[in-house]
Amino acid sequence: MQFRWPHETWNFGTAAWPGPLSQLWRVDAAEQKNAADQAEGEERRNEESGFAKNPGIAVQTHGSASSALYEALNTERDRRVPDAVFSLFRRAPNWRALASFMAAAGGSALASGCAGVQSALDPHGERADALAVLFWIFTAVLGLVWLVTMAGLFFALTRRRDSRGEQAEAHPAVKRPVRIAFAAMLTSTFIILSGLAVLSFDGQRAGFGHGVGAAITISVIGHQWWWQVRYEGNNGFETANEIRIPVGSAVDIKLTTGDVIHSFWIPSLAGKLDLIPGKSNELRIQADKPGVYRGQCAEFCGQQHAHMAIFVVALEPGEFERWRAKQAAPAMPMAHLAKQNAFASAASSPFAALSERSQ
Amino acid sequence: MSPAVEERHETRDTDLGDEELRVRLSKTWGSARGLIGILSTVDHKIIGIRYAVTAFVFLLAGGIMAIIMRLQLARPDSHLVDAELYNQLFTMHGTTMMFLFGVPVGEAFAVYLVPLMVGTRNIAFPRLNAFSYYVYLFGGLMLWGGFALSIRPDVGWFSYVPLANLNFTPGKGPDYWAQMITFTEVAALAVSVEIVVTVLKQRAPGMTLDRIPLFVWTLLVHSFIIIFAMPAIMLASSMLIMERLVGTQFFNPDAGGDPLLWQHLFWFFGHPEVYIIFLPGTAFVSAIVATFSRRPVFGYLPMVLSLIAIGFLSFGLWVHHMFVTGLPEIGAAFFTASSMAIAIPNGVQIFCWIATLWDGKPVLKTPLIFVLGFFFIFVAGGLSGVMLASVPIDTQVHDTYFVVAHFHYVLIGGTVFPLVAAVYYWFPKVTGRLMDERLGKWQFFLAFTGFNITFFPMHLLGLHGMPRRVYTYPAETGWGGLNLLASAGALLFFASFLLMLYNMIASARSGALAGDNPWGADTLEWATSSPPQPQNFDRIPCVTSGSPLWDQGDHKAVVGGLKVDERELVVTSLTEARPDIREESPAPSIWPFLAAFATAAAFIGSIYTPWAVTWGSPVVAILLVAWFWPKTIEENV
Repeated sequence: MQFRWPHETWNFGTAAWPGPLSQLWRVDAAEQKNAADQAEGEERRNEESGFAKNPGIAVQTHGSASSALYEALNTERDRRVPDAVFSLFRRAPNWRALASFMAAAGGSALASGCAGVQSALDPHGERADALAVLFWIFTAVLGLVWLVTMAGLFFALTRRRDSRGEQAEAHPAVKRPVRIAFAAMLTSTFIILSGLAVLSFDGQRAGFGHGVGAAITISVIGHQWWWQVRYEGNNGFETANEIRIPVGSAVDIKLTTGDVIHSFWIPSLAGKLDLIPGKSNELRIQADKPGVYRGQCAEFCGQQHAHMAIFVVALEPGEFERWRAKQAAPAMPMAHLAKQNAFASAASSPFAALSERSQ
Repeated sequence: MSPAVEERHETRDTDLGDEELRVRLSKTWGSARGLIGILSTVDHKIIGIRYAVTAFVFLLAGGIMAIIMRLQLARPDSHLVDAELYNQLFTMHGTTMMFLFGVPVGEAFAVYLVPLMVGTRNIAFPRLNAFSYYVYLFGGLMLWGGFALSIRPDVGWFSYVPLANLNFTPGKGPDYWAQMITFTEVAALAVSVEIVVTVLKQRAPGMTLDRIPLFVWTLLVHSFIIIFAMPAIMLASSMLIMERLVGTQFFNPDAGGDPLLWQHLFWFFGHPEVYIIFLPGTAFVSAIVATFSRRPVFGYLPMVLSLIAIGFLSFGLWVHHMFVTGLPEIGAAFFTASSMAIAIPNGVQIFCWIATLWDGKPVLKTPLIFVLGFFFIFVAGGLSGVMLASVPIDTQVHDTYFVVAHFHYVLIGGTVFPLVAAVYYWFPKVTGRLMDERLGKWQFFLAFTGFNITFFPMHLLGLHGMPRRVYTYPAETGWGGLNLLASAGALLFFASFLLMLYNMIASARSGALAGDNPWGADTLEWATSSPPQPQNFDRIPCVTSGSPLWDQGDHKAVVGGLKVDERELVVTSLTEARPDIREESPAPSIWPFLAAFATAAAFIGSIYTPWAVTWGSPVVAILLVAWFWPKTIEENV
């Protein structure tokens, strides 16, 4: 059994990397395993806990701890699908249910499925749900358009084949059915595109409008190649490469950059938004259930762009408050933590979220 | 029909028999031998072939880079290449394919075929044409020479600032990249001007606007797009060089600049660029569909109007590359609408071609088979483009492998498949020999399956969260299987090009002799010998229909009265193509080569010091003076 977190494979070369933080990332594999084992024990003891509902955390039952974790995030989906199908008939527009239903339908159609810790087709938040629905509607409509076009092409080719050596016609009489078919295709193209555009506008307004103020505002500052996360407010504090949020609350992420352009993207929760010098962008995320959601920088930002990952850890509200209070306590600033690297690594890795609950 | 004036002492084509005329014209229009002769030629066919061969060499180079990248990504956590090299590879792959292959290969076909199709003896401004080729060649050599010398751009084919600024990317890589753009854009602009003038003023008498072949219409629109789009990127790349060389602050927000300015300028060029690369593909499709359906393309007028609409609309889409930069919502929504709108003229073209096949009697030769592959792939790519046009969907798939899949479907499906079709289709015209059909069908099988195995899984990878431009990915993401599949497909796809290369070499040596018109096509390039004589046509054809070779049969009307011992061609009126004047076409000259060389030296020098511009300009100016030195010519009135 080996734990391999993405950052363990990093090869920094001569890249500039902030000293204390780099220590945060030297995660001892054995330590992580312990953390996970504890989590598993806890799960058996405490059936009510949000995380414990995910049997996937039981590390030993799976090939690798990581896949176990990933599965932990997604088992909910399997359970949810029948509900989703059911609720389609029960309540009118239920975006979430529709999303998971379509994701499941599409997922089984595409052999590889849609599960994954970092997948736009595996939504776990209101916005990602709506985006997934929109995506599947577009896919269905445009897939149909493609099929009709290819069918037209196929019949065009198979209609008349005994044609070799025939003289070319410079002025063929254009037949009426061809004209009608052409006009029909053109009209339907126009109607379909207009319909999709309206759906798109609707999705844009619903998904990007900022309603009432969010419960929490978090500043995320992009750096080559890490994420600085700053919890604003009187008792503000900072973390790196990890954002903890309470389940069920809207969280506004303020995006700025310390150097080049980056892009903040947690596919399971929301679409991406760039971090641009001289500009401040704001993105709202919300997680529906506890879990660890992976994301990574989506705008090429230099040598180690591939390794600029970030984890969003969604905790039950009470748990989140406890964590926040602990972080905000003056004795635990990040720089101080970093020096005690053994503890720090455990505390700042996403897995720590799982182990902490067991205490 | 002939120009009214007769001058007794000069030999006119009306004075000679066919055989003697052919010999004397080919002497007048021929190119000299020897190194100087090779570098001095202004024959559009020779320069077109050089363009094509150079572009194909770059295609191969870009393809090898792609294969290395696919091998690296075939399994997770791979260490075949490191981050630094990978970033250089994808930068060079994108840059080479877009600027050194995609754009020039369209120009190659335009330069070779347009003068033949409109029935003239050479392209307009033939010396500029030679100059443009050398500038393109030197630009490509500079980029790849720099690569060999470890001066390697590694900030992507888009070079976003501030990453491409000096403080984040020291070294000369981005400067070479930016200057290479200047080279290829100078070349592209030159060719576009030549094509526009050739099409508007040198058409064969009688080739009114509504008798221009669709191929030529397409390249005319293509040229206008280049003329309006390329200045944006030349401005942008020059600003980038200045930012890096002399510390201007165009893109620095702390000094009142804006990094988004770069993106606007880049994509204002970058989206039309897609159509610059794609339109020659549609030109090939129009020609091939007509020939193998044995009838003209259905709906000439809608086709031409669609092309013009595409030309205009292509300038109104660039913001869909910037949907996730946090633009105002209404502004972004406008670009959703315009991006979807361009699907309509593209749809018109697709429906017209299918209607042509439906109505006609399709003959399934290799060129048409590749065009069928084009339909299958390009329509899929166009439809995934409709998804990308939607702002909300784009926030999920932007800068992921979904986009990589989309634009390879569009660019390979839309351009490379028709291009391969075009190679099979016009190879007999260029070499006089047909390419092997059996190998062609094998190649299609390899290319079609290889392409789809490579790029279809990338849609899924993108949706599963795999971003672009990552040199590796952790196994835990679960992307390994699809990536391995894609890499296997890439090898198949690459093999298909090796097969084509073999087929081309073997067929050029020992392929079946083609004759003038092996496919029974309708446009004027098939009215002359294969390969064509230096003068293209012994007698200038006179056109009375949109499909001259189908309509006129063996009775080909011609125009007479051109001098035989001088390079003369007929200039016709813009809309109705009435013969207007006889115009002398420039003779071979070494000055374009020397001017291109000096221009290249000045461009490359300016990467290192702004003084290169100061000292290079007089040299280039002197060479241009020599190039344009007026000769005393007898007035022919």
